[in-house]
Amino acid sequence: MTSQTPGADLFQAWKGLYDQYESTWTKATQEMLESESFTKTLSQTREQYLSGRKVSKETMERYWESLRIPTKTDVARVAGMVNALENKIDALEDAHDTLMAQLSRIESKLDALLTPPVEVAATKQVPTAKAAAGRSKAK
Amino acid sequence: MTAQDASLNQTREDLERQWKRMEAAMSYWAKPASPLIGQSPKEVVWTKGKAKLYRYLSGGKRKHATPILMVYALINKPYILDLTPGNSLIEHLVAEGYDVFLLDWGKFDEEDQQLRLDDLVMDYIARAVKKTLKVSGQDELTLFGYCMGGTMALMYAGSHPEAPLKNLVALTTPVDFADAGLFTRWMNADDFDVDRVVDSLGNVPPEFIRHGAKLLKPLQNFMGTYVQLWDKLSDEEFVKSWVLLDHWVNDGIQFPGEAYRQWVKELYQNNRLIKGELRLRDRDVKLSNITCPVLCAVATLDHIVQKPQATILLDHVSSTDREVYEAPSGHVGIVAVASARDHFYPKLAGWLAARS
Repeated sequence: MTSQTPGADLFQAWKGLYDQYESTWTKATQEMLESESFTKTLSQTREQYLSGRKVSKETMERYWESLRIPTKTDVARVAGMVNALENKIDALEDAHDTLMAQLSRIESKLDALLTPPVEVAATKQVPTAKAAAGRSKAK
Repeated sequence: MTAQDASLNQTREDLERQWKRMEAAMSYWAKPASPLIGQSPKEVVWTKGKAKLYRYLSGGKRKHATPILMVYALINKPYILDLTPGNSLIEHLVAEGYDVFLLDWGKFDEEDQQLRLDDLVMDYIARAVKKTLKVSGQDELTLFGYCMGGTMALMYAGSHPEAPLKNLVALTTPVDFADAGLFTRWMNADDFDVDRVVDSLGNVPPEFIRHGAKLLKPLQNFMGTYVQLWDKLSDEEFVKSWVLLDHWVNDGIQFPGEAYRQWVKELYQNNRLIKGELRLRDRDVKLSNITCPVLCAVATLDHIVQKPQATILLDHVSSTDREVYEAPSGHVGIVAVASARDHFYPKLAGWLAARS
């Protein structure tokens, strides 16, 4: 139930005010956000933030270095090496997949070459690539 | 009852209501900081760097053969797609019999600063596609991208004409950056020196991006949302949903510096994707290379990715089977509020069912 005596519920009073003026405030805010001056102010604020972050980062790096404790950059360097190693393993896996696919294609072609046409096969058994490979291994 | 009695009763009711609201507020703030999120059972089927490829476990038989690979954005975390039981797109799709995979980028750190979009598309998405097919034993998949995850999915599809794509779903995906609302104004090359940002910060911290997004609607984001919460504190369902979304909004990850530099320069400042001028490694990215069925889902109240920015995709793909779906919600609400169960969830499941 909505209060009829807003004085007893400060929030309802505030909400009533918010609901009443929201669209007006939104319109005014949007106009401000779209203005050239706001973009410039945003740019200046960002510049200050970036300068602050950079100084803070460099100071912390120097502090840890002076204590002879590995910095975040040092840890990142090692982690970067692990990533590089992982990339090499991925490349090997790709090369392996490519080779396996090529091998599979070659095997299929060999099978097709060594398998006789149906009518010949009925009278004469010709070894398949796999069988031939098996026999040469046995020798 | 006299007028004085009525007034006293009214005052008492007001005070009681305020007290209950205060109690609800105290119990909400006394609860553990991290609500339970991303609860659908899953297994890790592949990892690379910080990234993990999850496959969601199905209790019953999978009805649809074609797996779905979900690619999420580099902003915030992908559990928005599996927010909480009963409010999860992934849970819904798994229950509908789909084989769902999710590429979770993980939390980038300083060592990932050099990652470019080229790497993320060619080394991560392309490999995740291969792994998804290998694990599911299928030849084709549905690629699903949300927000900038959708843009990266399009970069993959546009640079791999041979990609084994059965379908492509682009959910609130920015494609045209010529008019991205206030972002275009704020990130124009004259006022936004992205080189200075990346060279100073390395990776871009989540609060940098979060505050930028909140500035699009400052009144609603910094005040309206709390007014609404206070007003509905006695509505348990509303509060639960609000807490989950608030947790997600503030649970950001670092954006890899080089990828951010490219994202701003190539897209916001030069709009290269839609112009067909984007190159990743040695490949051109052409949206016209996309020939599979495409569903472009947009949210009518989205102020982060505006409708024309996304729907223009369909003018550039070569697919004959293409559709725009509009949900009556916002950028996040399309997947993560209760009404999504009545709109986007069944729409997506139905669209896929006819194509999987």
